[in-house]
Amino acid sequence: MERRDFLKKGLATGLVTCTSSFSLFALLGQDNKTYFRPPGALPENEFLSACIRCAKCVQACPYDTLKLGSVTDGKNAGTPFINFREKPCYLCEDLPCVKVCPTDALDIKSLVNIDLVHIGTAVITDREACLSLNGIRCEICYRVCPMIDRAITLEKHEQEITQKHTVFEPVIHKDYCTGCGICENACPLDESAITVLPSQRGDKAKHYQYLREQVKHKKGHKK
Amino acid sequence: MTFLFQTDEKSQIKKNESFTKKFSKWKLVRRFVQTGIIFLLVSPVFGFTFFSGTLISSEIFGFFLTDPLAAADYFLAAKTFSVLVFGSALTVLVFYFFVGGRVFCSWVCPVFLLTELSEKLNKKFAVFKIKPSPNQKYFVLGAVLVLSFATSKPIFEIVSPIGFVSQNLAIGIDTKSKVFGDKISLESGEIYGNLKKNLIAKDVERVRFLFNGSLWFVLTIFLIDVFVVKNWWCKFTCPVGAFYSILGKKSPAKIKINHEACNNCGKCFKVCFVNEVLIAPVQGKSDFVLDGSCTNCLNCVDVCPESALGAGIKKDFWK
Ligand code: SF4
Ligand code: SF4
Ligand code: SF4
Ligand code: SF4
Ligand code: SF4
Repeated sequence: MERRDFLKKGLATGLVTCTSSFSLFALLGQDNKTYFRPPGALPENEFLSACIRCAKCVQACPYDTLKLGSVTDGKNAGTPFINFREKPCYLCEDLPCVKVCPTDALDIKSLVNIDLVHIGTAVITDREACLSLNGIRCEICYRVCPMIDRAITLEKHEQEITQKHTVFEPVIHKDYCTGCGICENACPLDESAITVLPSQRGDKAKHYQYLREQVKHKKGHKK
Repeated sequence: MTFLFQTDEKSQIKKNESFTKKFSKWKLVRRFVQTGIIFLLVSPVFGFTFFSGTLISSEIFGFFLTDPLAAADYFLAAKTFSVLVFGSALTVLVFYFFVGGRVFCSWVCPVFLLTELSEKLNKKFAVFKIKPSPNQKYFVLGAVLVLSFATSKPIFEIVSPIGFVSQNLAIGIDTKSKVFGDKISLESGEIYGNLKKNLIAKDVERVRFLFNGSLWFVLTIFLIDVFVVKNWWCKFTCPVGAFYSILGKKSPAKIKINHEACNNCGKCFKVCFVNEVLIAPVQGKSDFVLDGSCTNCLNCVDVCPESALGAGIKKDFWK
């Protein structure tokens, strides 16, 4: 009887400790993953304070774009996020996800102009793999972009190997890029060469952007 | 609680008389409501539109409802005020004030079904028998509010099993998953120009269960309930339960006792999961179950052989 009792206690303790430590580690675990939020989300820290984890946005998304964090996502448990490679955000005109949010975690103000949405910014992250940069006429990311010719433009260079052909380089303009991830989703490579990254809109970046505009301006005058 | 069981002849006879089990009318009604809530939570999956959301925040026929504790956590964490959140939480607050605070627990909360199951299993499988103080939940409530303010995160909503269960009910089941052309083929390049119009959506009729890892947490609670502390979560820990206990204390909807009819058989104690609330009324010290921890589940009303207990209205509830 004592032995049985011991076994019972051991088994119960084991079960409870296993599940609870799993949950605890999951909750407290440091995660360096970047979570891309639905359109109109507040800046990340404010978003985490304001989102009450009601999952209404996830339920409202007609494309199943939004996924819901679980305990394994630590403090992001219950918050919505997007995995662009699985399903990008199609930027529904009426933004159902934003409309249902009871708090201001998804800001209703972004409804005014859908072009101002900044989930992130697309970047060509693998220049060696990008088909267009290898001189192949891929340009899928350019064609699928809902902000075509504003968020992505094609810039022409001479193709260095043959010195006869042209490289059509997709260039992303972050003021227009909505970070919808349609390009990342569409890239035909196994690992997308174009990736949505968190928007960086610091002062320095602004500075270089200004320079770039100045150069463009001057070029324009020359012509 | 042996002091309650009188051994005089009258009650002895009565005890033997009522050996046949009474039909649990209220329990049946309650199970009906509990199942109804679960159907409500999964209803959007089947295309119904009158309800959406979870028990943290939802929308029914266009009315917003928010769990008052979630609203409080939100105000403390985000340090803002929102009329929508406040109004929708107030609606819920007023409703539960009039029907009895913890009516949420026994009639609505899906975790309570698990608690009731764990209670049965605990009878057989309890290994440790630890008994914390029932007041522990008020400390948890306080800690949640303070932590929400200090960390600027709605602390309880991050770990809420009520949230996890209802999130999983709301979005865990997917009957009509739309599948878009996953593979982009180079030949059909022309459709990408106007992607929004040309998206090819195939409605795939199948049921997918996408239950997420959060249910581990719920399982943990369940196992503690079964093996370690009986009703650990709902009786001793849950801050939502604590919140509604405070609200329910002043509520007019209370269990009423008829002292003349009560024969001290003690049956109500066996079916009540917070049975210390019954001590005062059964001992004749009050006419109502005054403790806010009572969930108005009406188990005791069902089981009472003398019909001494019943749902009542406390007219001077503000006192
Ligand atoms: S805008 Fe549309 S597709 Fe994008 S997350 Fe919201 S509901 Fe989903
Ligand atoms: S609807 Fe708003 S509060 Fe609810 S989960 Fe989504 S972002 Fe968070
Ligand atoms: S994420 Fe890609 S597809 Fe979307 S707007 Fe930016 S560049 Fe265009
Ligand atoms: S105590 Fe908490 S988890 Fe239990 S039934 Fe009440 S609200 Fe639900
Ligand atoms: S006193 Fe009666 S109604 Fe209240 S919780 Fe106990 S059994 Fe339920």
